[in-house]
Amino acid sequence: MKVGITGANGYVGSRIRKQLGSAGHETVGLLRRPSSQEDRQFTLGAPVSPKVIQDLDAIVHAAWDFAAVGRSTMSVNRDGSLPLIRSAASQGKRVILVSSMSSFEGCRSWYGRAKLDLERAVHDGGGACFRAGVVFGPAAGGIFRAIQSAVQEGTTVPIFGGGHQPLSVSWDRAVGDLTEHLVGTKDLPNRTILAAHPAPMTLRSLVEEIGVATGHDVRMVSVNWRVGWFALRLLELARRSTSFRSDSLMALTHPMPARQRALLEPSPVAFPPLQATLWHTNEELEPEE
Amino acid sequence: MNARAFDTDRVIVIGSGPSGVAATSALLGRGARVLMLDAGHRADPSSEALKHRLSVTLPDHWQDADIASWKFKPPTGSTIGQKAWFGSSFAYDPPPAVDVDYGQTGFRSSFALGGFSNVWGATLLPYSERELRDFPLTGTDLDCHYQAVLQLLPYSAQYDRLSHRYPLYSSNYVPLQASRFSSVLIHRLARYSSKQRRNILEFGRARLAVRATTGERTSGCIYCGRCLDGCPYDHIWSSAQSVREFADHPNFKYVGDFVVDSVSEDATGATVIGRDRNGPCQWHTDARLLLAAGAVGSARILLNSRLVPETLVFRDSQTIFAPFFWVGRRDISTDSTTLAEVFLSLNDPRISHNSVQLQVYPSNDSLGTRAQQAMPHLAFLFRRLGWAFSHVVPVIAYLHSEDSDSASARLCSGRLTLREVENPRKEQVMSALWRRLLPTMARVGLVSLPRLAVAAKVGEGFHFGASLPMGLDSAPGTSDLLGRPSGCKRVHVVDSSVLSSVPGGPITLTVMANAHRIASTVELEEPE
Repeated sequence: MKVGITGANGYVGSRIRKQLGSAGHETVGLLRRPSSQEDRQFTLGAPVSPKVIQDLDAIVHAAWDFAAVGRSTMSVNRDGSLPLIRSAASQGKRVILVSSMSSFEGCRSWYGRAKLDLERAVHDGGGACFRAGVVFGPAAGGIFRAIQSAVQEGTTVPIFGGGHQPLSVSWDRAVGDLTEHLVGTKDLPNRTILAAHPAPMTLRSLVEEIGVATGHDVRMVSVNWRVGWFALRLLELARRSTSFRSDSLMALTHPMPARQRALLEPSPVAFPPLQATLWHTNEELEPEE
Repeated sequence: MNARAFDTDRVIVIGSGPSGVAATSALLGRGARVLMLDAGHRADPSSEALKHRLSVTLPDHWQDADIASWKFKPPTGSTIGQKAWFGSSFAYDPPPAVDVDYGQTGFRSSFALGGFSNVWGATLLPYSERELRDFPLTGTDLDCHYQAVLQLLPYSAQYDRLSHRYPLYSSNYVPLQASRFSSVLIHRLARYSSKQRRNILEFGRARLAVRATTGERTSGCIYCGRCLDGCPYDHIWSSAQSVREFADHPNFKYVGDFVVDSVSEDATGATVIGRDRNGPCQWHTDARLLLAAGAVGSARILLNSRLVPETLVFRDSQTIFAPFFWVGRRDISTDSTTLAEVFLSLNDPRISHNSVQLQVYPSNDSLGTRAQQAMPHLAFLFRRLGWAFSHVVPVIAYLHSEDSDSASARLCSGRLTLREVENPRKEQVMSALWRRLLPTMARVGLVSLPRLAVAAKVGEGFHFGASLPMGLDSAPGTSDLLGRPSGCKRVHVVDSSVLSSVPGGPITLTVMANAHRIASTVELEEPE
């Protein structure tokens, strides 16, 4: 099958692309600045030319513009994704949305709210959505990479909101397997899929496990989340770039209620718990031929 | 009137509670043919209908009227440990023909299909060597039976500090999502105990017979927070579920509506005398008879049968219900289970040479109702201080039977009569427990409300048995390693009656493992 992937240069997107490719699918990156022959031009918010998706069988939507902070997430990411989702649906293409555990009914983060609206649009068009947690793997990005480097550099890790809130973890390879399953399967679930290990961890246990696996003593300091959020928000308003956004902090400190989580569609692909063997290896870092 | 008599070559199991189900599963696994005789009371049709209505929708769509009629209503004349099943007290209701004088005790006998497992707290924990001290068994004798029994149940657990002393025995477990409260409590306990010189505290997440959602297409607990009133979705295991699963097995036969009066045995086999819907009748088997009617039920049958001495002593694990005030953030009460969340084991020789087991529950509405019921003089406080009440955490402590009151059981003109027997050690252990426990709990943010602690009546915690303790010698009033009362060859008691003592803490898993052990070991051909 021919699968278009938005955000194919990002961590999760590239991981998915690699796995779809090795499973025998033809992958097409839908990128802002396509750099190779097979990739095509796609920008969040811009009208989607029919030619871009015409010959694709499915589209995996993993793109997200993290430069948009605060309320502008809604206009840039949500409103920017809708044209693609709608035109793909109208042409009968299967859309698979990479959503997040930050997204749930009643969530407070802009990121979560935008994803939730997109999930609805994708389901309306007959597509499938899955919610991934903190994605980990040998070449992890995002929150996992941030915590990993903080631990390895010996920096004190700030813990917001007590650090006892549930935190879901998703192995990147399982995310890829799930996507591959959804691209090929005949019966798409009409509920959003839980793409994470069934038992959530806590932020503290995640930091501790990374510390144990890398042999570093971890120092954690508890910080009131409101203080942290306010500080990050001020920086964002001052247009300073921050490695961690206020919106992510909001998502981290206001996790999905247990009941909503339990009602998600169980994944058809098994998600393992966080194990050092699954991420603490460099074999996969080597460039592919 | 002549009793109708039936003959069978099957092994007869009396009772459908956890021990009956564990024994049956072992027998079926060996290829034996099983006949389960059971009083088999079902819930009132209105409760069944209520459960059905609740089960077909999600909590958000439950009708207000249904929730109102479901709300915890204590059965009349109930004690603090009793729970209703969708408003029905069928798990405790005796049939009209059975008359037991319980006196002031909290002991009860269940005639329900599934016995007390319809209303249990679903806690699972094996006994360690320490708890098995009084038993003529070692932990390794039960190991494979713990493993087998855990295959019958949904098992929510996780590997943690508790696993060193209490192995998980199965890799087939899925943890329930922990509430923030229990995560914080475990974190504080870990910090506290790392600073202690002596390690007198063992703790970990509660292990429960509850189905948690897994990643493999099965649905599980959705955290509606109504566990104590009955689970509409059957995610809390009861042995009635296993009986329904056995129904498809070609070697299994179930006869309900049968109340056993007595049993007897002779060279040709064993006979069960009782009544069904149509009057007196009896079942004869030329194989074995496994008695799993629950400690009180089995005692009634054995005393009627004159297979045991005139007086039996029930040992009870004394239960103390104590509210604590939680210094810390509270969760939304409906976003967790309302079963035990944290297990604590206190091993302090200054309290007792037996360990004291504690179960910490999250606070919730129905527990509030229960607490008000236990402390009616403080009801005005509960009403006014709603916010404060949401910080009240119920803790249940279980003492070893050696440190608890017990009860004697005998037949008085044909009627089973129970009387409390006080134990002078109890007060001593309880006051020592309080003195040692409160400072520890305060360090982890659980401030005691000591005057509000209620010691349950003997039997009220439903952790009782050891009325016919297994021993190596076959003295009258004891049973052998296969649960046979002294002198018996074919009649085996497999429920909590044959425990050698009742250590504090969850009892069901060990009772089931022991029943499984006996049923796996008995000679199925001819008695030796």
